Amino acid sequence: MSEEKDTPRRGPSGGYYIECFLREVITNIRHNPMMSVASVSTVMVLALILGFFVIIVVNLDALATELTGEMQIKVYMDSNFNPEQVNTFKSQAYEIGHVVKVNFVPKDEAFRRLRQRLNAKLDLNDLDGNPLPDSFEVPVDDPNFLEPVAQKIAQLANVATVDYGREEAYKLMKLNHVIRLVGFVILVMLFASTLLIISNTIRLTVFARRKEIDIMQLVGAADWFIRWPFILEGVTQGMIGSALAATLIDISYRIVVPQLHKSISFLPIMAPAQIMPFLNIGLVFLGCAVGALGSLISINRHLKA
Amino acid sequence: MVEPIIELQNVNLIYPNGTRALKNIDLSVTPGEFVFLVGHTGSGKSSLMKLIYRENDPTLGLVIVEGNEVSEMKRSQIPYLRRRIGVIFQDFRLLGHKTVFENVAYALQVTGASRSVIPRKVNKALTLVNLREKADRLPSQLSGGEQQRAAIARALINDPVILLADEPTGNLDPDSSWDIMQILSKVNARGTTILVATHNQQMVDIMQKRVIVMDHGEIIKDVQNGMYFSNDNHPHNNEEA
Repeated sequence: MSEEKDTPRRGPSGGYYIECFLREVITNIRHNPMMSVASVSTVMVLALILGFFVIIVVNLDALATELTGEMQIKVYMDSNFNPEQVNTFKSQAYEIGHVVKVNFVPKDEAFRRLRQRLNAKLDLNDLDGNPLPDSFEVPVDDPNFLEPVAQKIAQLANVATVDYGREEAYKLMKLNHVIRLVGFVILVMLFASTLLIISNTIRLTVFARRKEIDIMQLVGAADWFIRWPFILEGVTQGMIGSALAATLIDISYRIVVPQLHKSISFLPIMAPAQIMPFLNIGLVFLGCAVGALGSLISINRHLKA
Repeated sequence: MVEPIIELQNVNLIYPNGTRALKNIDLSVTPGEFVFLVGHTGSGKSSLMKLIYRENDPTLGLVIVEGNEVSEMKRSQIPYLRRRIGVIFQDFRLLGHKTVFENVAYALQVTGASRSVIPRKVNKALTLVNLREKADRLPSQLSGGEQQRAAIARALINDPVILLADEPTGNLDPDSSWDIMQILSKVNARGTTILVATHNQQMVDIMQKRVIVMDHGEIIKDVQNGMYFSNDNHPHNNEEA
């Protein structure tokens, strides 16, 4: 062998190493099937929890956003107001800003709506004429501007009162913020715990193969050469686990949503097509990232020990 | 004067648990030498070897291999040191899920050797240790002697300048032990420096090489071309005397 000094010390293409590493990954998974199953199922369970949680948070957020978006200012006019002044009022209202629409509701229309809403539960025929005033419905582009816009409208001519459900708007906006904040915090915690559990699971794999790693070091394998197959193995396991979870969530959501639409149609549940593609890609990406990071943490701990 | 390939200067090693493994070791090995390290279990033979391939760092003193101070090397340089040093052990340390061929090839792969070079070099190494016909066997399908020969092939695949053998015949029957020593002699004849830690008295006497005797972490004797044990030099013989 001494005449063969042609062993290159560096220079092979990345493809060479990728092929070596992939072969290592396949061999390792084949020879440690139980450890692989443990890692894959851990990722799957955690991705399932994470995925369902995301669905709940996203739907709650959508609900809160929609409810808040429905908030509008109701402007009741006094008896001096006459329908010829509608356009004047509209232009004055638009000038205030943040006003999306100004919808005139004549008192007859208001009475008709009231009658419809009460649906014969109360006999309105006893009333002497129509007691309701002319009014306007004024939705704004951002619920945060409900109050200032309402205050400015109240100062316009012939406005008797304004009503914008101050308390409800405030509560809904607060709920919306809380849902987002709590959702974010729980997502971060779930991600951190997933990472911790995965890294510990992979740590067991590393521990089971510590002799193998020692041999690799003994024959002169650089740390990165030892590290990469483990990282790729983690990525593979993370990808399989999260893809399984994403599939399960996808199927369940597609089954459950039509049922929910039937039973609680007033709730704005997001359609699968709106949410699932992003969730699927996100979960698989997260699974890969968690697998890679968990492997990196575990193998680094061992290599530096 | 020939520069030593391995040099230890006033080396001391104390393990974290307080055990003093090596005490004031001064040792010089010239290129191409064949050296036996003998001594009781716990006398410091393996500890001394571990310093050479940087498994451990000395508490005090210098370990120099091929003119480079080993303990000063960065972590990233250690793999390159280990490719210059082949190491074999009593327990063979082969990867159980890889065939003999794959085990030997792995040591080449880590260096980035090209695909065309690997089979040629592996087959050559396996021929040297007379194991070519069992290249596709798993270690568990081989005898102890065959496993050790596979380990030697792996240790030699990168053309190391030094071969360290820690009790290479400890688990082998006399015939297999003799085979291993023949192979080591052959490798030594090609110019590789060889350091063998052993308890095998008969082998040491037959080989008639340099013998370094260790006791309680110290070198107590350094005999050139020694028929060491048969000359009443064995520590046990001295104790009995």
